[in-house]
Amino acid sequence: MLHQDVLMADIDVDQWRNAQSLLLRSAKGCRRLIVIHDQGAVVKFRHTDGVDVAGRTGVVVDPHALARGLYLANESLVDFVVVMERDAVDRYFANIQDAWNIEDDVDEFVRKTYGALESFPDGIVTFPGAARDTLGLQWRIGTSADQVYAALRSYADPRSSVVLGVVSEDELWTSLILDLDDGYRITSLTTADPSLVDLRGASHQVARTLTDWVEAMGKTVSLTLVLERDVATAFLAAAHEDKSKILAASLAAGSAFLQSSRTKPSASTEARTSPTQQTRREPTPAGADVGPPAVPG
Amino acid sequence: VFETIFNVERPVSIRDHSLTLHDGPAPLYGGAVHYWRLARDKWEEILDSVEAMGFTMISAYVPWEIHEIEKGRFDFGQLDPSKDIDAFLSLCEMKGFKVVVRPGPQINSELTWFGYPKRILANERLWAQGARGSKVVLTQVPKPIPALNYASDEFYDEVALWYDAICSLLVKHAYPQGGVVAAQVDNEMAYFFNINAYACDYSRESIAGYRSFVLAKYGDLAAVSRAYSSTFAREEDIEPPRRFLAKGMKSIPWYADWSEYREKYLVDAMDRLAGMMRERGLGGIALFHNYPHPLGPGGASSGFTTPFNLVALEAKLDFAGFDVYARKELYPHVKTVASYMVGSSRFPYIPEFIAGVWPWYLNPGDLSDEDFVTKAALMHGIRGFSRYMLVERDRWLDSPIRRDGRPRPDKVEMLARVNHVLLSEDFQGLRREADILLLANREYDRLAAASVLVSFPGDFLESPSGFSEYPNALTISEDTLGFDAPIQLRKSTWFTTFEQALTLSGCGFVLSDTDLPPERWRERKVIVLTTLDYLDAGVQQALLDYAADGGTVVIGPNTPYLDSLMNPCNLLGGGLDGATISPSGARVAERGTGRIILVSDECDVTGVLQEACSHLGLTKSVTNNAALDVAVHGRTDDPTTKVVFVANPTSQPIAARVSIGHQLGLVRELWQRRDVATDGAVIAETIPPYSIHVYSCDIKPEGSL
Repeated sequence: MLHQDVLMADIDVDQWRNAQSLLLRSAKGCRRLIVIHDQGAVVKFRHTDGVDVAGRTGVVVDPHALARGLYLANESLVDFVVVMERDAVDRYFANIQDAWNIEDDVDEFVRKTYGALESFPDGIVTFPGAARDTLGLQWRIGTSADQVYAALRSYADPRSSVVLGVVSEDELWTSLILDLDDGYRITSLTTADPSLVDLRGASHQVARTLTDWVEAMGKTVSLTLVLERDVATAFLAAAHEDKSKILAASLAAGSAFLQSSRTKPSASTEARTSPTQQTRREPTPAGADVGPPAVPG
Repeated sequence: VFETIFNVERPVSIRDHSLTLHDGPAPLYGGAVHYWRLARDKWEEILDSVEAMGFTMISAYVPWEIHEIEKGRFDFGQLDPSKDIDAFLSLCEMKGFKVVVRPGPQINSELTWFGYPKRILANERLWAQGARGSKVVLTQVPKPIPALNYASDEFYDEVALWYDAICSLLVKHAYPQGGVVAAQVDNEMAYFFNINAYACDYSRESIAGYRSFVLAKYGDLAAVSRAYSSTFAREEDIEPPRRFLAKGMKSIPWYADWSEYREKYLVDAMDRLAGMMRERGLGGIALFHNYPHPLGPGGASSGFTTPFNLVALEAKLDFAGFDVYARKELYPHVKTVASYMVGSSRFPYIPEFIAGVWPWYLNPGDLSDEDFVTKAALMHGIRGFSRYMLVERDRWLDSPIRRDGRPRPDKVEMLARVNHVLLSEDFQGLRREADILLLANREYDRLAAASVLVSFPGDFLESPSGFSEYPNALTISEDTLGFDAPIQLRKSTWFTTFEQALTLSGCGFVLSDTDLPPERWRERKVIVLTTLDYLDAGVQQALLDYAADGGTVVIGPNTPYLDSLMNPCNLLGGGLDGATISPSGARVAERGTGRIILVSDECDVTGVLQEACSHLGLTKSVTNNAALDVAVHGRTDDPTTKVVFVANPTSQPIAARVSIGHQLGLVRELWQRRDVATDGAVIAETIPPYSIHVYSCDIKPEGSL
């Protein structure tokens, strides 16, 4: 998704920090109970904070049952349990590195990395949630990377810019401005620059100002989506099949703004005309391969 | 090498912990400007902005990746004016800057290929190997890259082509002809952030180096066989460990040696590259290296040792440092890193010091973090730095100067004030007052590094393992290896206990590790070291000698009864013959004009150290709140002035009362430029959350309180 020469410049640090908090979840920041075993013999049984936990064992027979049991026995102390077999972990990391090739973009490589966890169903076990959806750095977007790409192709034009924003207390709280190439690869990733443009107001006002500001730089914006912060949080947390409903309700309530060159004009979306206007296509149902992020955005 | 390189008169040298030119010490308060990423017509305006902030030095990264057109052909401005490094250096010189160049071969710089031409990374003969023979990959943005094999002759042949071209340009600007006073050799060499002991490098060349290392260490195959409790008929029979499977103490040497070799691999690589720079005319300026920001956020207490070895590296280069990127909540981490550099390095300099962040830095900080961390580093004795980055650009955000040249006023003001205080108050003349040296036990750290239970590669995002790349209690084996308790874990507990007790004592201390030559221990009055069941015989003897010469040695919790090869060795224990029990519960033995003190119970450590400090009459600071931290700096040429740093590393304000063991005259807070009223003994002020006050204190001639 990222072009190898992607420009990541003129990013506002406050907006960037907010975007990270909205979009990413770090497993490192979670309270975890870690069990490492060597062919069933437990060699590490430790909470990340070093606190005592229930259910200590010296043997792993069924790692799935153990992870589930330990989680239920310590639900107030842990966000998740991970049971790792030493050899499986070493083989997993050797395998994913051997799968690298120099043309891989980071998001492609990372998706392969997390997908490969499924090849070790008994060796790297988490509860609750599958290892590929739990470990490492995860998107908090409630849908799969494939669905994000599909939505992007539905709503945005190639060789255009996409403007995403979140407004909080009548001020832009975070934004992402993406330039896309022919193949929808991101060639530039930035945010609005609050030192150059006044981004106060309700979501629709901010959306217009932001879009005009981007276009004044000679770019063609094919998609603008600006949400109030509570809407953004709910939209991202929702399952893929519920996102459309949340967005439609928010548009109707005036707490969201959507403008796409591929959307028919309507009062709720305030869409502008475009030579490539098309009827909006609904995203397809959520896939199972929610991957972790390569970079925020 | 040390003798021939460093003991001759050179235009640039390191003396008295400063980078020194013909006309004396040169303050290195600088920052990075990536000329090739800036429009050529912006260079002058941007350098003027940097100069206006009071910086004295420009750090110029010189990327092989950017300058190479094809193998052996380079563009130094002939095609793209922004790549005219010669013109950029000339402009820096015209503006009066000292310059530090960083020609790689690796410079990262958030470049797609880490600073190498893509063809280098694509050449599989140059790849490092993992313990299972796999590729070794660093997940970075926007392209994951392979770790390279720095033991490969072919790699150095490639680098030679680059060095031939770039060094011939740099030589023209080397001091005294020009402003280039130092060159950094490579960048953050840490196996491409594959810190994990079994991540790499198991390439053919590296394993050959490993075998040479162990043969040189033990002398011959028979001695290696004895050390490893094995039988080797041929050199090729010696294999490195590929995962931790130790079941007893006799296997410790094999594992610990792998950790030691990993240190040597990095040192040898930097030495070889430095030699190539010297051969190409850069021997007259200082050559240095930057290890990466160690420990990881909140990481292990002595993670500044293996696979890094600052002392060994400084035997080959002029100096070495650690990069620092930390938020204010990580004050203990900044203190640890800075104190280690001050206690160990010839010139405690931070080669990369936070000024903005890279986009994939999670939860980036803000101005308050950078202000606090800056003062924290200075508080613990850092004497120079290079801000990374002074000017924003692709893949970097929140620098003091934007990409288009516009300043960020609040950042410019903060950085300018730092530079102004450093220069106007002559911080170059200050010396951190520290009578105590707390040593990390590198032997135990090597065991800890080798005892990790799982192996995983470097990752700039977040490893799916969820573990820190630095070994810690989550990843280290709990096997006792035949001892009463696992040394690889217990050593951290005791190091932390000593460190906290020393902070509470109010006596100044700095850090180093057991590879620091014993003759340098003599700069301090007290050595503190964790000692468990085994310890190198040479270190045991050095501790005895230090005490015999008048020093005080504080050890605990055991006297070792074995040496590094697990052979009986009770040298240190013998030094405690005739010991008496002190009021604080320690065993104390007089030895020569000094003392050896053994503290066996963690609960006694604070009392024992306070007793030891009092016995020596060490000057100490006293505070009314244990959360406060104090560091005192003096001037060798003026005992009537002290600079006192008082840190509040908490999220709550503290009404502080601080005394430093001297009668106080005029007291002035240097950052806020205001006089502070005192009663002649105590500085009483409220210190806001996460802030550090810096007081210049006149000391009354009456002397100590």
